[in-house]
Amino acid sequence: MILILLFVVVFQIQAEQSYSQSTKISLDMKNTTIEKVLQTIEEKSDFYFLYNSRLVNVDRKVSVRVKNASIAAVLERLFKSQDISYEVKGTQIILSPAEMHEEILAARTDAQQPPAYKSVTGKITDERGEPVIGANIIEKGTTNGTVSDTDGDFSLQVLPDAVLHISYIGYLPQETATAGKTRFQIILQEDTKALQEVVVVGYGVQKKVNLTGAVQMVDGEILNDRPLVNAAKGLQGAIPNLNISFKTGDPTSETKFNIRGATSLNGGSALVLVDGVETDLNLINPQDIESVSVLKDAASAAVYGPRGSFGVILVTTKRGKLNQKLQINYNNNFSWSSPSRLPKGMQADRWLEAINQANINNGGGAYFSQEQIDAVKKHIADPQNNPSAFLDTTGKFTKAGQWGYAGNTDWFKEFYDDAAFMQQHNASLTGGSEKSTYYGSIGYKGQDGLFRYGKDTYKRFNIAFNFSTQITDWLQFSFNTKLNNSDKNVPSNNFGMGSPYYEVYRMFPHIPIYLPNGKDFAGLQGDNFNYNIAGRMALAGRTTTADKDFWYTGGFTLTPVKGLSIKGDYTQNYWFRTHREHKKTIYQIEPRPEAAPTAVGTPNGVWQYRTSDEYRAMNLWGEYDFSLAENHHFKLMTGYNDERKDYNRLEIESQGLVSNDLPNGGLAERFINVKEPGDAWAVKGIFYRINYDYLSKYLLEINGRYDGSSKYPKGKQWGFFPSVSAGWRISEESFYEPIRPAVEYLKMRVSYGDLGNQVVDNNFQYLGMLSSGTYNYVINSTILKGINPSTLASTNITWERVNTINAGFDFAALNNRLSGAFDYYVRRTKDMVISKAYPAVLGSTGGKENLADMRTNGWELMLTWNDKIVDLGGSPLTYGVGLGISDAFSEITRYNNPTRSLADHYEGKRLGEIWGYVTDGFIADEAEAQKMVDIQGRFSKTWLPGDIRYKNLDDDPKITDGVNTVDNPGDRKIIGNSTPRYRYSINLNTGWKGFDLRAIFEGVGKRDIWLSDNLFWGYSGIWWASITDYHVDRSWSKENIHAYYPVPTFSNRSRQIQTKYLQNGAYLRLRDVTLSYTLPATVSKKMDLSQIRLFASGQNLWEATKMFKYIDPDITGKDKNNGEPELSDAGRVYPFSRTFSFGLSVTF
Amino acid sequence: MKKINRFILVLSVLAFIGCDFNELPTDKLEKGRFFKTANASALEQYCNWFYPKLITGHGAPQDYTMGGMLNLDANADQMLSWEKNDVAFGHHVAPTDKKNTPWNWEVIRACNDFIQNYQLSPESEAIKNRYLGEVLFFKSMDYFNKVKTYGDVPWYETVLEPGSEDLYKGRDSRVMVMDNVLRDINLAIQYLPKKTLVSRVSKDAAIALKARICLFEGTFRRYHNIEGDVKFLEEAYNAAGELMKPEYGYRLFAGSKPAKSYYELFIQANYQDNPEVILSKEYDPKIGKGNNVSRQMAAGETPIGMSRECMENYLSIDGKPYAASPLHSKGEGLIRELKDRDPRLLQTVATPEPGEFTYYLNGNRPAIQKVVGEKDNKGSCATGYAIVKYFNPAEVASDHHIGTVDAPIFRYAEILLIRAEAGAELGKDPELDKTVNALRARVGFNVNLTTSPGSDARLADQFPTIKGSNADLIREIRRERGVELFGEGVRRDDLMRWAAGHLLARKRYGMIIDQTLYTPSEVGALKKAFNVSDISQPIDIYSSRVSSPPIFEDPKHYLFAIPINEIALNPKLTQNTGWE
Repeated sequence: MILILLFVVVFQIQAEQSYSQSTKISLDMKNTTIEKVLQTIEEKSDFYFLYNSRLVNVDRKVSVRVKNASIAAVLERLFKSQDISYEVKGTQIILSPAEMHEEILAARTDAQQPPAYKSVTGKITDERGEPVIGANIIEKGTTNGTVSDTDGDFSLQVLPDAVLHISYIGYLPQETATAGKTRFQIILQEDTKALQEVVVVGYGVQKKVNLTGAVQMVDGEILNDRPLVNAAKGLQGAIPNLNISFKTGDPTSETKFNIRGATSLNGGSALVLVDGVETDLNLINPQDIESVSVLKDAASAAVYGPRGSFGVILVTTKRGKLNQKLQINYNNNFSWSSPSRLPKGMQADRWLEAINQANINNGGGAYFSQEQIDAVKKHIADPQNNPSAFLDTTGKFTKAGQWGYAGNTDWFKEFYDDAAFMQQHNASLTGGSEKSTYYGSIGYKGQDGLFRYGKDTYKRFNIAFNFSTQITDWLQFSFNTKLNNSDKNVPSNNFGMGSPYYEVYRMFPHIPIYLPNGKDFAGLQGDNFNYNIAGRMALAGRTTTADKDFWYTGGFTLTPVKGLSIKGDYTQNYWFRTHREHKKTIYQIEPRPEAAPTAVGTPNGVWQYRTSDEYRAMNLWGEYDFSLAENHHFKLMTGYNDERKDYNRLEIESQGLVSNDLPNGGLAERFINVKEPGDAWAVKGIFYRINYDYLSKYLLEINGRYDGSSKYPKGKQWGFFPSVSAGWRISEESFYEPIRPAVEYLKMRVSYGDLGNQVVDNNFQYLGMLSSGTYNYVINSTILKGINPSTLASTNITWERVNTINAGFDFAALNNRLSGAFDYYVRRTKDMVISKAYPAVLGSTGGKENLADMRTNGWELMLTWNDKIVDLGGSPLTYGVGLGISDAFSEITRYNNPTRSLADHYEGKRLGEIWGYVTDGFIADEAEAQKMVDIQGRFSKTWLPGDIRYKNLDDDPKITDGVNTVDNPGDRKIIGNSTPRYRYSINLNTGWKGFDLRAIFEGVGKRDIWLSDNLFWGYSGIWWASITDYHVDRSWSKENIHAYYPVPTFSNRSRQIQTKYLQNGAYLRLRDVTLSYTLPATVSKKMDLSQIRLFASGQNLWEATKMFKYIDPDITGKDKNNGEPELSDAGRVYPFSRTFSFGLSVTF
Repeated sequence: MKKINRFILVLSVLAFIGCDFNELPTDKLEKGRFFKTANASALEQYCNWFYPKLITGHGAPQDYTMGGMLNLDANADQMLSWEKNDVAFGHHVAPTDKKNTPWNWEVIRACNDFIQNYQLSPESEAIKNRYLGEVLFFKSMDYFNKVKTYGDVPWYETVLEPGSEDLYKGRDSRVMVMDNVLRDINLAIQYLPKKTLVSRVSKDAAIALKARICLFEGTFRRYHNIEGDVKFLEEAYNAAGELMKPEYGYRLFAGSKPAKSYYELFIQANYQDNPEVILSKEYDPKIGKGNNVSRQMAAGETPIGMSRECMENYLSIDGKPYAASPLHSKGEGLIRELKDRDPRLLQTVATPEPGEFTYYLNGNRPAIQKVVGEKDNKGSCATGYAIVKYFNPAEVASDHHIGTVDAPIFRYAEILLIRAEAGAELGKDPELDKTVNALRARVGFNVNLTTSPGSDARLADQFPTIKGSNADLIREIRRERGVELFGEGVRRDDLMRWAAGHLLARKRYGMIIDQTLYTPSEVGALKKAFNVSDISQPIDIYSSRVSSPPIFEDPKHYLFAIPINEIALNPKLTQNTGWE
């Protein structure tokens, strides 16, 4: 469907252009008469010639060889040395002797104004000063024109105030006014949108046409004019196989960057570098980003060594340009977010009855008394006269003398605010003098969370400053700094609650928020989890997290001789976090006025930690650029890289606050705990890269890196990782000529190489170590501290090797309007460090060795179509469509699991496999249920009609797990796979008259998901229930035997992993739609501003998925490092949101 | 140009940065460094790690369940949980994986690591030996647990490394293993100092552990026909006798009065000054380390109760067996059943009759949670006999983890019972007046056990085979053990060592429904739920809910299965009989 849509768009809209300009003629004729040439042109085109053969000599022999030339260029070449003039009128061409032409013109001008033609000459070159041959030069508004010759020179007769329009394929068209000038030096700029794009690669840049690895770049534009909470959100769907996921919907949620699917069983994600330094992208103001490059294969990432083994994301921030006027920009954004797929609360009486029914099915009695249910019904019917909280004198509600509750609360409505508000303000200043450039920005973000009670807030303030200056002609110096401050403030959690986001699902709806007095909270204290989460959060102490992050980079560039540059930089980063959790005691007002309030959450206290991490990185590299025999281009690069990181943290827990309101660790009765965790690692490497190209046609790149890591024992620390890649621009070959009109550009690429991966779960596992511990044990009224016994030293571990083979091609077609790239790759992660399966008598886990291999196969395709309709209502309409599709799956090819136990990975396992039972329908009646006691006794000794019947897949009449191995899995088999397959994204954009509209769709084509959570099953015991109308209406009963869910009980017996409840995790989501409007220049000029833009945007506004109604498909995007999905906390986290926003951007 | 040359020179100096890594962890100690520098405090910290691993008590602080010892007792016949216990019913299957089984060797590794390296410490021999004693105590305890569970197990004295051949050795005989354990616990007794802190391992605790281990091993060997029973029984007899010496200063806790002394003993917030407790596990909600015992017993989600079989084992106040006493009649209701009995009964379970021993029922019927409910599960109970041992009414609140009640790990009463049983088995003096009769006197139960008690048909049915010379005395001591140590997690071990597994294959019964306590509809519900047709018959706890009856196969169920994966990894490991 989507593809069809795309092609319709492509072919429907064909630009209408002046025939003489748009028609391109190719001729290759030798020693032929002009007459023959003219006939050939007539045959090949709609042109026809009018001339007097007596005046115009058409018998002269000529040789002509033109390629895709305009008619003007052909005629110019034919008649250049002749005194023959020509005139093109539509498809008609009139040839006449030069004098006669003058006469005609004279006659014509005689009739009107006196003609004042002047002769203009010029030279057309590209940015490097190379002449551009065959560029079209047209006098604007006329058909008068010419083409540049082999030296790039041209001359033309034009009216005195004429404007010249100069155009050439692959370059941006230019217009020059001729008034007062006759000699022109025209420099055509390469059209970066097309093929001359420069791409940021490791330690340098590379022209896109010369790339041999799998590299893709996106412009910062997609990040700059959107109301983004963080840059990562803006990159979702931008590049195929760059898979960005968030753990939760929290604006500060951890972001995971994955390139090309599963990495290593030990984890490993893409390396994110901002201006060459590893940085948390969440801390970067999206407005500061100039471009983002993604290096996907081994060859491209080679120079980054150990931490780039699963791809690198290079983010370049904005900086000023030399001789650029000071430019100041201010932009802001206001947004409102609300949870995307939230359930609706159940009416309280229906909920109580549903719980009672389930408890009865479960073999118990009615859990809630009839009095309770009746009171709720009465309250719902007449809330005025039946208060939701009252003194329980009978003990039928809670306990005699305590509060009885009979309210009707929709907890989801109460817990979540209607919308979370966020505002952002950014200001930047950029420019440059002759020698220096500068860019400075300042940003503020204030975000309110979703809690209605105990509002959570997040604030961020950041400053960035980039400066560079040319000190002498051989030395350039630069200094970059970034400062980030962020503060998070949420209600703390010290009432034995889980995550409040989960607690809300299991609130009892008959508990009201407030007591009848309307100001004190009800249910702060509650038996068996039936309490009031809203009240607890409103009164709770606060958890505050303050982060301060400082980055400083100083660098230099030396250019001692032409072609050679030596660069160096040194970065230091300090990251500080102060986290303080105030465990406050809160008080429940009792129904009897004489009773003292009951304290909840005792003892009070404060838990805090301070973290100060330090990261240092040094890079030193040189690049030498030279040519041999003119067409052999070389670029040599070599360098040294050294990085280290130290983690430090101090943790203190105190109890018994002197003042319940002042969470100070010292103002407390006692210290409970002091901890001082710390860690460190370092890597070093030397690297090289050799680029060779012949005529930009045959491309070769050789990389290598010799790496050391502190994570391995001496003797195993160093490894050498080479790679090679090659490219062939087929479109430069002469045999390609016939295809060129259709497909202008085609390049094949292959690469092969190894990278080292040093991601292991512990930085010092080659040592046997004793660590400190605080135990859940008391001796002498003191919490017991101690020393944990020594870990097992893994003295034999060394680098994992990530080997990638990649083949792909890039192309551009249809006048560069359609471009794209395709890559196929096989990534083998070899020698992964895993625990060897030792008998338990070893008495220790660990004992790791390089024992496992994994293979990931995948491909990715990116297509973009960019074009414009020249005239739509008087203005051009530009539009573009981008499509990205990618796929990856992984298989374990070597693993130490001799028993092939399903509790672990095994050889031949496809990552993400889901083993489960096959559902065989519902148990029909009592008799069958009785039989199941034996057959399905493994899960329960009680079975009811409406419970699940599992299919027997083996010889054993009972349903079993066998011995839980691949070869004897009992009645289970692989019923699905949770690996997301066929991830795709569609980017649509169009611009017209200052309006720009962009939409980004993103989705997953195929995926299975098993939801084990209470949220999905609803009935999970009285205190863990998450039931909604959805569950009640869809549960089996004697009246509803074709239901979706089994008969409501609190047992897991019918909830084993099985086919029926396997979710289809495929989805399509409208990730972003943004409409912006740039005010006409005339309007902004009046206000003395250079540009004003307004924009409105929506994020995650719509999705199509068959997933369970109340779980957001995004939550499934979270993968554990090793490629296995982690869905267990589904619904217990900050929900994903839909967001509306608007803002403006002003440039001075 | 000169400047640039200098610049490049400086750079090339910078480029020669060392190629070695000298990062070391800042929050951990390398093994060699630890032992070489370990002072007394460091050695003590090393020993601390074992406590939460091996000292069960009422379970881990802040746990939601009612804890370790009560849960352990549900594995046997005296205490019944609402959901049938798979192990008690013989329904458990061989585990695939070592997870959550005693086939975990971390403790042994940590002990052996200490034993191999502690001599590197610069501390004095006395201090080093003191902690070696603690380590040997825990090693003995862990091996004891393993032998109880698996019988033969491999014995290790050195730290295994990935290349060690011994990783793949077969099992050593329990005779060899227990002889080694005896040697180790004797060394521990020699090295450890006398008790100063009740919650820390001491010489006293080591003697108590030795007595427990040796009684177990002696009787197990005797009733399962393994050589060497006498040696262990004698060690048990002597170890118990050692602790009974006045120099150790142990005596039974008296409480406020005899009728409450037993109950009060188990609701103490601290045992430091308690004369009866040898080793305890502490809980303290003030520092966030409370337990949930009282809360879960009275209002918890997982009801428990005493079994009828156990209830009947308590003597009548007149000293006669319950069934034989004229004070009681067959088919009498709950209130009557509990009256006029060994006073420990009403200090172990609650009666609905208002008065001193109601604890929390106070006239209410015991709530059989899923059949006869009470709003807040007050008095929730699986059998009708609501357990109150360890129950402190002040600690039942909606908040979890406010329990202060400490757990006795070893107490003097058990030592006395070991003395009596080992004595009776050996034909030596069981010192009944110092042992069994002292326990009875403590609660004001003035019926003395003599060395020639009459025969109780019920006990003879329970324990048909007695190998000691004085069978009826041994049976009476076993009854006494069941009564005194109810809910202390030793019942299953007792049944195993007595080869009395057949008791686990019996049906589980609870109270006789007292019609004065329940409404007619509730009586109907109870009768339906518990398969009762004749109201004078006790309720049948599981039959209507659990279709497979309890089983106990001899010899299979006397031991547990070794995890299947472990046998696959080491073919020299053989599976226990019946579990292959």
